[in-house]
Amino acid sequence: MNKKKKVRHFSSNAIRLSGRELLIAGAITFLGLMIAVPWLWQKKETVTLDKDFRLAYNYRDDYWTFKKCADEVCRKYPVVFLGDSVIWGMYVDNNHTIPAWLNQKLGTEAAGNLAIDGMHYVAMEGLLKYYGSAIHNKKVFLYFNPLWLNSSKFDLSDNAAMDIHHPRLLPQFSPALKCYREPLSKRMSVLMERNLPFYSLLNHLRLTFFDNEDFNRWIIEHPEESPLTKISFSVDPCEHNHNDSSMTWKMSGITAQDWNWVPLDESKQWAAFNNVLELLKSRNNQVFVLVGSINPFILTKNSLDKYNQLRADICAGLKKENTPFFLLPELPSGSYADASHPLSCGYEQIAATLLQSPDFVKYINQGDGK
Amino acid sequence: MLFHTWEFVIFFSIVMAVYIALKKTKWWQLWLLLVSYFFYGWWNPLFLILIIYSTFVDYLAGLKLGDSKWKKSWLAFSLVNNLFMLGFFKYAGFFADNLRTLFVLLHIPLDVPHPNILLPVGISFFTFQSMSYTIDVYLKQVKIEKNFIRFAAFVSLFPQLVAGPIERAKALLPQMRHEPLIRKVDVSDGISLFLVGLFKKAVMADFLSIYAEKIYSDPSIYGSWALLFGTYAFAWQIYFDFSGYTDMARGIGRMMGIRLMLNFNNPYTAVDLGDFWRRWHISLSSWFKDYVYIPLGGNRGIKYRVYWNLILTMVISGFWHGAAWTFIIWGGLNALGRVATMEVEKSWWYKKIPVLVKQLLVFHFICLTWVFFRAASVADALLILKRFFSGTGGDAEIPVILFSLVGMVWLYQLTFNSKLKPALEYRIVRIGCLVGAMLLYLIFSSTANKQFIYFQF
Repeated sequence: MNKKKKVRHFSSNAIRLSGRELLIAGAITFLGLMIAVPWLWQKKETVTLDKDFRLAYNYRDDYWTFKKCADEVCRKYPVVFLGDSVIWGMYVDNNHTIPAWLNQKLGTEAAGNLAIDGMHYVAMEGLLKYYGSAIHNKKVFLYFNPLWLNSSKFDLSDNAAMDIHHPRLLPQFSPALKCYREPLSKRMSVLMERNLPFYSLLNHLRLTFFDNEDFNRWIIEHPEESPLTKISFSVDPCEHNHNDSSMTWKMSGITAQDWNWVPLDESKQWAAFNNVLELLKSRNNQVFVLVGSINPFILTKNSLDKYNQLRADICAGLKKENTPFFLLPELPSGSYADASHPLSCGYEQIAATLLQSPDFVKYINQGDGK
Repeated sequence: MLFHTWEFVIFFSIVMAVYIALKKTKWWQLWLLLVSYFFYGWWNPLFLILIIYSTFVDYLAGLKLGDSKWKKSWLAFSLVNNLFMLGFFKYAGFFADNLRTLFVLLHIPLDVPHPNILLPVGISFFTFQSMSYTIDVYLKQVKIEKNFIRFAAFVSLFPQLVAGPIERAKALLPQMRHEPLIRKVDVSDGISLFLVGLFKKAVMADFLSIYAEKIYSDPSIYGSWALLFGTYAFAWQIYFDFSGYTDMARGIGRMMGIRLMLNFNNPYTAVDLGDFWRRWHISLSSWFKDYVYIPLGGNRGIKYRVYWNLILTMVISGFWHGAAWTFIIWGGLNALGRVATMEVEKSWWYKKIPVLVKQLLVFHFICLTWVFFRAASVADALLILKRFFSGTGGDAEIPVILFSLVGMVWLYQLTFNSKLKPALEYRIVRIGCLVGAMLLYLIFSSTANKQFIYFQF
């Protein structure tokens, strides 16, 4: 009698690879896709910078594009401006930001705007470390916005969980930020994005061409469109949709603020700002700091006193490190749109004031920054 | 803890490092038990009380089945205990809701509140695995396990704890009695299995789930084409989801020197419904066959008795999947389909039908039953079926790329089951398939990790 031998199946497919074959598959995937594809893409992709360029608001989380733009801006302009929405120009058109006003007043294309909305200093440290290698041997104009120190929440020294601007630029494990609470998987995917350009490219494609959606979700929502036709190698990262606002802080109904301010020696943002300075200097950049001005008219007496002390401490700190800086004087009340952003007239005054500063003029004129 | 997360990568790296270090000592089983409990407790540490209790009862029952005069009583104790646990945690809500409806219909002024009981993940799987041990001991098909640590590790083995395959004691316990043998080929086989499972889950199942969810979340707004393709999407989603999980589980087991059974064998290439159930969730189908269908009489007796055994087994199987009428109807429909086609399959003319046509017929019948499995309510399922047959048409909004991917996998499976199978075994084809799968994984894996469907059972 034939006894039927029971067969134990390995699997329901033939994808059974030996150790060597797995290594080959891994090498093809890693070298071919993870390294070669982003490298080729980066070579083929072009970005065009308009006059008075600033990175479009929609691209603020696309660090791949920031990297490309940093390359271009560094090539085109002798001075690179870094900062948050104050430098970016939250309430003004492209031609009314500080760099744009300076260019107009100097009659040359001297200043390039690489600021990004919401770019606090803990995030900026990550931005420059992982995506800002193009900024070396340059003149860098760095804005310090004291607004990030107005409370432990903004300073990121709070313990409570909260939404933070640019979470993908924060330190994921060390130093630990107690207010940043994300699962391990998310933190690991951030590390992958920083270290494997393929992930950065995927994020770039999602943000630029696919409405910041996962590819599979986009395909379901656009069943009749081919994703390949959406992709282009020519990217226009310039802001086109921002116009001057004339609404002052009083018109917006902003009430008095009693901010407590975080002392410098306890501030995470200040520590990160110093790390940014150190990083920029280590890359052989000549850094000039503009210490910004908060709208003093919205502060209570108590808060204003603490703020003035803080500004004095900031200046002392910069002096100690031999960093050239300019302390921005307060603007007239009608030049502020809110607690920290000027209106167009405010920006013009800042540019004019800067050009009256011998330190700044000396800084602008020395070398060509290229 | 899902297999395709960084948490699991870290967990498994630590587990393997210590496991390899301990495998020549007597401590490896204890380590396996501890890490399995850690894995299970990750969802909710309270669940551990239940699994430890269940393990202890069946361990005790197993010992008593060896030397007690009251063997039947101990078996009954084990079965009642397991079924009570399952009934309480999984079905109490269902029974309470139906009792309330019944009281309303009979105008009895009694309110039965819905018991908000948390369903422990994987309870259906580990109770069935544990129960199979006591039954097999009673039937003298398996040796009594006197080592509690080993028995507990068998019940809670983490790769297959929460969604199977439901392993039998006679297959798994002997593997745990000796030092695990981990050869190079086990590691490469394990990685191959894991990567294919990862592709099935993170690329295919999660992609299909978006379309199926879109259609099934509000079927009333869609025409027949969208509902049909939504059902196709779900049919493949549940296959990729569940078989992807078990592939990963088998891969992890293989890397640890533990062989777990094949649970899915390309079920959508089945040529008849019997064939389908020999390919779909094989570990559960064989469990029901051995412990329900055969004890009921199996194929013995008159034709109608066999049909009755089949219907009862499949309805219970449907109820095992979920505490809702939709699952019972799903089981019933499969049973009716099986009964109705048993004779047809034996006929001379059925044998003349081309294989591909048979495969498509089976697939479409199974899709019909999936409507009840996936729909939120019986009313939704009936609406979908009505639309299918009314031919309301409408825009299906078919994602061509998605269904092209499904089509490619289906073609692969058809080739694998055909005379062309050797073509898939060339090195370049195997490597190419894996690289392609990894590329799709890198592109399509969602930014959010989704749960496996079968965890809810």
